[in-house]
Amino acid sequence: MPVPKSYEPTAVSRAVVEVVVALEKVEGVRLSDKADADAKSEYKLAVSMSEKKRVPGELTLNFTLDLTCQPQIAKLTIVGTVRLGGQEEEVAELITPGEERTPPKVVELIYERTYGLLYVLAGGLKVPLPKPNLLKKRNMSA
Amino acid sequence: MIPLSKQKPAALSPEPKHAPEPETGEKKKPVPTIQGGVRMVSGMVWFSSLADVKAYIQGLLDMYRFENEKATEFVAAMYRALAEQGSHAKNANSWTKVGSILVNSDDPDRGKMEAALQLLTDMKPLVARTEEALTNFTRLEDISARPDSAFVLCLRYGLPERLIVEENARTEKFSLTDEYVTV
Repeated sequence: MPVPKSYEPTAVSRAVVEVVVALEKVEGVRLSDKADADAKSEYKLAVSMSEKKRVPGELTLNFTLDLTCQPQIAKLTIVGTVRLGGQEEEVAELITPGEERTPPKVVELIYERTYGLLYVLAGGLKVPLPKPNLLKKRNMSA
Repeated sequence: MIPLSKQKPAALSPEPKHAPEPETGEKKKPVPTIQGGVRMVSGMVWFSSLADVKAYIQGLLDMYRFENEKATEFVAAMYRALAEQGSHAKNANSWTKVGSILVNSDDPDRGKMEAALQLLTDMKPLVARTEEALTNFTRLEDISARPDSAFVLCLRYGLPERLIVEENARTEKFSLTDEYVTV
């Protein structure tokens, strides 16, 4: 059994995990004049995250979501930070990749909370709308 | 500071939850009550840098100062309210010991004020010793800790008492680069 890093008093930890997403940049580009909102397409999502700040009971991450429409007719970019507040194990659970093709919970949460904005952005650009529900890792071997 | 009457009901309720007064004679003015307070915790908190330790102690100090001020205002308001009512102590000792707990059912307002005064007495050294810890923090910064060191701050009844330096203990910084598809 691993030696715990510390024994945190209950008063400094929260009862519920807190996830706060703050956006710094939102960008949408229509890459082709032939783009059609009804065209059959799929979006590829490139996620990049890095640790910004870690204090007891809190982890702040920088993130960049790059949604590229395949075929390449649109690109949507969201840059921001996500603050995860909770006990160490709870925060660790959020950033741990899920089984098989499931992304870490934090990626799902960011996508979920920014989806409305992506939808409006794609609608305004008259490009295909990104799908809302699940976000699965691309199986490269398939 | 927010006046007592304007503070949130959860923290400070201007209407004491007493049994209703009988409708005879002059109405008794409400006496404020205090709720909450600081949980003086004991435990160990892990940090990846000394700057974070300092920020944490500063946070503790801010909280203790706020609570101290709140208790001071409460006691002052109690004094004023009791003076306006012309209340006098019914009994020099209105406390009864039941097991390990002192019970006061004779003079609740004065009982609350006595308890608040005791809280205030407890709070003052807490503020002073946390201030001292922060003032002397520059000496802690002289500790020759390796860049990969982590720090464990030990709190005892809310006071920062010990700092443990762990070398090679800092966890890797989280980063993720991956590709997904929306479905």
